[in-house]
Amino acid sequence: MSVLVKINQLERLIPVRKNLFSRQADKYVHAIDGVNLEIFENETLALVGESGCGKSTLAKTLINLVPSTGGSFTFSEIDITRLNKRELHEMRQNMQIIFQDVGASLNPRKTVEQILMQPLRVYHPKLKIQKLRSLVQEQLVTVGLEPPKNFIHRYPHEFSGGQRQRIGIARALMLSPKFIIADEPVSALDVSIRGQILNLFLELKERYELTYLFITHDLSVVRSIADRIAVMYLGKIVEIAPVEEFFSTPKHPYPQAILSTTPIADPKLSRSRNVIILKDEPPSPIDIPSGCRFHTRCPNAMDICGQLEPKMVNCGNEHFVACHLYNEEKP
Amino acid sequence: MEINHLTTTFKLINGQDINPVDDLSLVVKEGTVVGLVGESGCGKSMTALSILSLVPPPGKTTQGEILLNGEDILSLSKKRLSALRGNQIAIIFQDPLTFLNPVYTIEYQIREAIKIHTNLSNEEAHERILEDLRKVGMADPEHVTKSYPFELSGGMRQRAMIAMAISCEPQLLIADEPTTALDVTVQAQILELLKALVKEKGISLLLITHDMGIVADICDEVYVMYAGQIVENGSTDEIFYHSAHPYTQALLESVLTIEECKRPIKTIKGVVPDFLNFPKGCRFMPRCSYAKEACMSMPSFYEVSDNHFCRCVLFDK
Repeated sequence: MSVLVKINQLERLIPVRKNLFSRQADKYVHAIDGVNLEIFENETLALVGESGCGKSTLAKTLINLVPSTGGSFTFSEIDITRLNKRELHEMRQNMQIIFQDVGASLNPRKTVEQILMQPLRVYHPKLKIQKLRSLVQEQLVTVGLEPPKNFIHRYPHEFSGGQRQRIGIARALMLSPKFIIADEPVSALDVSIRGQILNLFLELKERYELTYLFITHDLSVVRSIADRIAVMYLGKIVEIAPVEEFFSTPKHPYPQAILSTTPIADPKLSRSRNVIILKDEPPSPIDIPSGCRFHTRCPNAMDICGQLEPKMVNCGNEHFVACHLYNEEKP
Repeated sequence: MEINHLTTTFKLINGQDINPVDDLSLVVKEGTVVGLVGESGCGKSMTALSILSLVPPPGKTTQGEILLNGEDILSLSKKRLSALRGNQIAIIFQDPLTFLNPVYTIEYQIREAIKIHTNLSNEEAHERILEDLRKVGMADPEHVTKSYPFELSGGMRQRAMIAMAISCEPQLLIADEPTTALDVTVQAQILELLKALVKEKGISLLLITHDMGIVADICDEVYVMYAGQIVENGSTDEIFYHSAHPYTQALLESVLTIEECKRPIKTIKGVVPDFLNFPKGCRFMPRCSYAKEACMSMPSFYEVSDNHFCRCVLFDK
């Protein structure tokens, strides 16, 4: 498998100014703090972490909605961070994003047809209106909004949450991208609808050979949809592994804890399992703890954890973890 | 607490009536955790508001009775009702930020509840507040009392709200999606706290949630709600291992788990019906794979096994 997206020491620091008029920032919010990640072609990589850990910022940085402050990332071996405006514009056809709150990302004053035509109008201004119409209708059928003529002239508010998410997916697919970033696409949906949308994601991936970066906070969703998983904590990736491997033997204490606290809909299993309850809540991304950033909450913290930041080590089977427990060469 | 045939009605401008809570009966025994599960818009939260007579106008509770220690809450005078709220029944909402007053400190807000229901002096009340905050797992209660809600994190706010709810030692605590806005690690802390409260203080808990995992974790009994009605109720084990109603079965099948990869993911076809035009007869019929002729009229409750009831004609013997 070839690498589609390669993220190298990507960083986004947001300056915090003392007051309105001070020029120099004395502190930074470490939203993304040196992330290294590879996404292979035609795979679904799930990015998991607690709220505020930088998942969504990473998504927005990857399509350059917010600029990065350091590091780089490449898409099909082209360095996106070095492109000029026009090259970036061309590049963006290949990568699309689907947001959690589609309601907010669809223009309330445009009909579904206008919304779906917009990307085509920007990138293929010479297409005739009949052609545009037929492309839109085709796309609506692919995302399961049938028959399309019932939907094209309606406005976003006339749709249910699940249908709106389908429109968001249709819009992302309009330009036949290779890479789709889905930022919590199912968190706002009910269980029965969530399954329908997830199945659509799986189906589309097969049909168009898509690559997904699937951002979520729900590990049970990851199990059913992803091929590999990356766990993020306070702006850094702490563990990367294939899904089966991860769920059978999670290595880092943080993923172990979130796995043990994810509710299981099975009373007997739920009563018998061992729950790891972490103390406190994640620290602020402004004052990052020294050394390993998880050591303030870690049940296995050692002396070294407060002093030295652990490096990513390979544990075999494509399983990587950044934790001193697995570091062979102790200093 | 015992609720019998509760119906809450909203009269719309066009004269139509809608019932977000329709003929609902529910029993919460002392010292138990009862779960009320359902998808969004099925009437779970409206049930909680109905119990406390907090239904926003033009909604009204039109039928039924709510018995707390044998006394019907719905027939109480306003004065008696406010003596009861906070003192015998307390509620925890999903979003503490809208529930807590942003311009008062946490101490002021908890003290208000204590002052209304007890005649403790300021010093005694302060001691009690510190103790309550410690009970809900606040590391530095002295600091929290002086904080305003926006200065606390999501988990801390939820703890502050629980502290407020238990400050007058209620017999019944209603928790409406208490952990939905929280991360799993913090959710686990809050659920442990609620479990401990039930165990140590003998409080009864009515937990409203959409998450089957949470139900499996802490509930003793479960009521499944669909489109304003209870469709099935029984002990947690009965509901999870011998679910009877097609909706409960479909819901459990479509729940994803960390235990196995389910592909393709099972779903329930169609969508939740709109309150304005419920299907005639059984409300789950259009989505049900067992639907038949007899479903055209509203099914009543049938006993599946001991203390396990189901609103479905499949169990009509």
